[in-house]
Amino acid sequence: MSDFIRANLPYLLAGISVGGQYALIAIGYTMVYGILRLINFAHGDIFTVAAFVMVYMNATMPLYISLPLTAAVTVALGFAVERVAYKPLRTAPRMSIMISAIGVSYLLQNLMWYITGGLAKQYPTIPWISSSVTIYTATTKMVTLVTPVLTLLLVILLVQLINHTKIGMAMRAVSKDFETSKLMGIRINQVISVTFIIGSFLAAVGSMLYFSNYTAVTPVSGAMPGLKAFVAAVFGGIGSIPGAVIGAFIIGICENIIKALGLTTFSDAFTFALLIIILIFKPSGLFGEAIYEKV
Amino acid sequence: MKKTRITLIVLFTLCALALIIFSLSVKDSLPGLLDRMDAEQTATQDDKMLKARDRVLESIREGDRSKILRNLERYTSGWADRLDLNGEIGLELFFFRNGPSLTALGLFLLAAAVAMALSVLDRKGRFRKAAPPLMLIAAVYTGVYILENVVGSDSMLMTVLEKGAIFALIAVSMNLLNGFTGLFSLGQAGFMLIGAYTYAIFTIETGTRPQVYQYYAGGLVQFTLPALVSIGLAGLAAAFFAFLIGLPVLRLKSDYLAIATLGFAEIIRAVFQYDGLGPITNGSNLLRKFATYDTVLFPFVIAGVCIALIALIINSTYGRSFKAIRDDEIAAEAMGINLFRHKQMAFVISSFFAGIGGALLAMYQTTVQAAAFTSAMTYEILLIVVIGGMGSVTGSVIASFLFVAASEWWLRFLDNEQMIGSFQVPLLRSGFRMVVFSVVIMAVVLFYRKGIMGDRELSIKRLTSRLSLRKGGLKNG
Amino acid sequence: MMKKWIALAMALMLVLPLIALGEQIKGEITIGIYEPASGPNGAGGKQETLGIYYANFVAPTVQLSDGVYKINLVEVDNQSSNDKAPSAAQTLVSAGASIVLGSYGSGVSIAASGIFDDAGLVAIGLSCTNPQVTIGNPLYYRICYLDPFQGTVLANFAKDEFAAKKAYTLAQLGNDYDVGLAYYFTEAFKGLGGDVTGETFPLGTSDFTAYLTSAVNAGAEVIFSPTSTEFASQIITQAAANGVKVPILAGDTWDSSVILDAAKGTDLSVSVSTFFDEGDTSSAAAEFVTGFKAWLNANPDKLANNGGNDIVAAVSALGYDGYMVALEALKKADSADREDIAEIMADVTYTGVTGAIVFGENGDAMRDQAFIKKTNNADGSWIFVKVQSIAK
Repeated sequence: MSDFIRANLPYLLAGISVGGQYALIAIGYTMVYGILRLINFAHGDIFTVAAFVMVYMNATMPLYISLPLTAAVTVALGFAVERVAYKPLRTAPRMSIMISAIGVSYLLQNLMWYITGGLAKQYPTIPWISSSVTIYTATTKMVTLVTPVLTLLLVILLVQLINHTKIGMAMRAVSKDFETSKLMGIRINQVISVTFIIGSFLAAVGSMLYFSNYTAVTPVSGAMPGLKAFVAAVFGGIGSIPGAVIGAFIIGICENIIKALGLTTFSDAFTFALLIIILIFKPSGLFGEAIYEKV
Repeated sequence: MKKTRITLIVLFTLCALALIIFSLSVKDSLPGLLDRMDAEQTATQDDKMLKARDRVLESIREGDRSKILRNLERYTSGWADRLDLNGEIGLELFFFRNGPSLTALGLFLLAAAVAMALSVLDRKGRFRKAAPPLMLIAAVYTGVYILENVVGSDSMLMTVLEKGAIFALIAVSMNLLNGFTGLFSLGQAGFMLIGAYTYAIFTIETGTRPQVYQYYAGGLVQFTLPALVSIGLAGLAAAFFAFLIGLPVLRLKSDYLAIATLGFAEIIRAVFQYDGLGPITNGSNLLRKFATYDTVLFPFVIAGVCIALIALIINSTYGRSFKAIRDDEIAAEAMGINLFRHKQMAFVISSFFAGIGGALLAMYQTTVQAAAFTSAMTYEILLIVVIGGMGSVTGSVIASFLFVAASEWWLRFLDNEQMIGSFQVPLLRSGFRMVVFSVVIMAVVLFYRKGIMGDRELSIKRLTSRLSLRKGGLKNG
Repeated sequence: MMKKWIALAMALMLVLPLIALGEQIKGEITIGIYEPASGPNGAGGKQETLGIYYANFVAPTVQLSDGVYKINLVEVDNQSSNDKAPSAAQTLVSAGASIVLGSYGSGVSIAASGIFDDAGLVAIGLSCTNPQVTIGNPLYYRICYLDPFQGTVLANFAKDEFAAKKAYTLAQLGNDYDVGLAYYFTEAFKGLGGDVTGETFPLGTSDFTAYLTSAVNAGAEVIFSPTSTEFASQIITQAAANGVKVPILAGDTWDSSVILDAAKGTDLSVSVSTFFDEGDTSSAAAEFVTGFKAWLNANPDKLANNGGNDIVAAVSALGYDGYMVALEALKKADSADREDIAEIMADVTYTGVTGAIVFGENGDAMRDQAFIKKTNNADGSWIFVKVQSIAK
């Protein structure tokens, strides 16, 4: 038994850690989708930009400035993307706005490629969370343990915000019925901006945790985690924050179990297979509300 | 009016015949031309030039036209200071070089003359309506053929044309789905992959299989099919997979469909790289040494035929049903259109042509590997469709040529440092091209949402009427 | 200070003959550089390109029978990606290159081979070690050793040095270099009586802990991971963070300062096989090393492209040799014509800083030795271990 644990504990730890990081990205997807019915394809790239901002900031300033500043820049970027690329298309068909999201993702990736020269950059070491720690028999980085705790903490805060504040109420209203809430005097644009700000902030935190663990940053580093976080959001029921978090942890852990079984070629494919199965049998996900087409 | 037309017809016919006869007659004059060049050369024999002359003779024996031309080019450039290339020899050389182009031009003029003659005779006017677009297409093909002969297939222009034609087919196939049927699918790269692999697997020469499948003892497939058959198979294989995938996926709505098809494309990619399938797909290694084409006309013809077929489908009853589904699913269903069957049909047809496009892409690249068919490729094609206009076949075609030309050729200079005098232009370095390019794309997406063509088609009639309108406007103003 | 003087002296040496020959330059000959400057192999590609530019700095012209020609280098970035490779290769063909050098990374070389072949353009592979690069491609030549050889060398080394009976290989899915070298290592290691478990990871993987755990669980005594440097640094840092103490072994791509930086301060054992050793004391090699370092240090941009230090990578030496071989070919053909060069290429010989280059079967240089180096984790440098060769 102890042998079994010794052999498999590292997989589980990796799964939980990755799951927590996916969760932080997934929340951004799920909130935006809940309100705008938009798959924000650029979200994964905002996550990567946050990492590069950190790399460049940290080269010139101390950590206690660069960390908050990175979060601020990321939030500003998320806000700007919404204002520039999504807001003008609010009345356009949904396909147009999704294409715009793809366009933004394309632009951000190319921009990062241009600025970094397409080479991997080393993510700065954040003291304490980058140090090694031994649990039972497995050695890992502190960030592995910090991630799930921090994730849960942030989620609880977020749920409080949504359930008990005025802006939270507005967000719920907008996601229930876009048109009616507009008529009720809710300032839609403000609500949407707040959504993007929260999503980008969480992506920035997620990026700090993720890249402290996996220290090489490339312009496409965020693409796969981004896609998987999206799958997690769908899996948990898009629009539902606890759903996204649980979905993310399930996907993170399952992915590592697949790898442990030696089916590494299919570790990414598995995630998508899971997505398709969920979509076919329960399109609203684990916790999502069923959406009825209005005629 | 009629008189001028008849004069034109006669003039065209005469020109055409002259061109054809003349260009065909100079074809055999090559050895004579060489003799005359020898006679005119005055300097002493020099080893290098003798060797060059031997090469010309050898390539004439082999009969490889492009090789003859290349060697001749070298021979004459070596002699440039001793030969009078402006005189008779120069003229003859010119005709030898451009013989096929002149023949093609002649044939085109002849066809134009015939078409005009038919239009004059045609009382009902049906032919008169069809003639201009047909002539335009003929002009494009003749132009491509002549260009290839004049600038050579190594030039960037030809590369852009090749790739543009291939992407045009793929973009039109995606447009059929996204623009005409309203199904937002992001699985195009997956179907291209299936097509490219099917084509490559069946056309690798048996003798070279052990080299290609070096880790899998030469692979399982031990026969070779003709290229055209394999292209057809490539389309069928993609269509078959689309049929299977469509069964569950097509029940999903809009963005769920998008993400599910995207997921399937990723799964297909993983499956094709799976080691266990190595004897067939060569695992994660490249496939190479399969049959490719040697003239730019090949992808043009295949893509042209396929696009024409898609256009016919779009203008058929099925096409109208597709558009009805796009505009309003519920209304379409109420009108008696079987939603699932029609969606499935659009999905399978689109994938069929994406498969063929994949096969052509493989031929263009000369090697193929599953790792390249990522979602980024799908996004690029989607952007082409958007730039051209959702729901416009000609828009997709024009946009794909523009897209390829801009990304591969026109914007290349942005990737290199440039000096204007002693001033170094800032920002220009590797990667800037793609930044500018994506900004342009974003501008189109945001400000010209309809793209180049919107959902209309390019029509000569409208173009000419607009031109004449503008003239009229000037007169009035 | 000393370095500056050397650089100045070299610059003068370069300029003086140019002034003397200035009027006699008859024309330009274009040599294409087909290398990655971005993507997972970008760091290595840049170092190889530096070697070529240094060679061009040393020998900027070539003397043909009818005069002196200036060499014009045209560089194109294949982005380490097989799908960008054909259009990059096409750019060189259209630019009128007489001969092409590259690439770092076998996959992109194989992907471009068809394009070069169609254009009748000779390409000289510098550090692409997969056999597929030259097999069936009559115009692709290569100046380094091949993977069947390298895999065997490393398998022997794993057995001799670590007495390993069980190995774990980790390769990137869809990367011809990785998968090929892992394959030959596995074959050789099994031939020596060992046992191998192999896994592949998809492009875009960041989390290697699961793979490292699998290696430990499989009881591996050595991990063989012939990946690109981008993944290498992840693998090393994660192995260190997760307390995986199994020695790591890799091929020529890992001969890079990226590895040294990643391994610095850890207690890992990282060994690589490579083409050239900086400490080589033969006169040609020593001269190259001093000259190259001075050239690098004179220009901060170049130093940055080398990874921010002046450690001489083996691929830079190969880049240098490759350029010189190309000049030899031009001289031998006495022409800049692609077809003339193709005709004589097989007979070109050259003794470069990485040893004698004579093309044998398939246009591969006959090489029978590899240098094995190990990281010095205290100060981030290489320790030369030995020259290993195998009886064929």
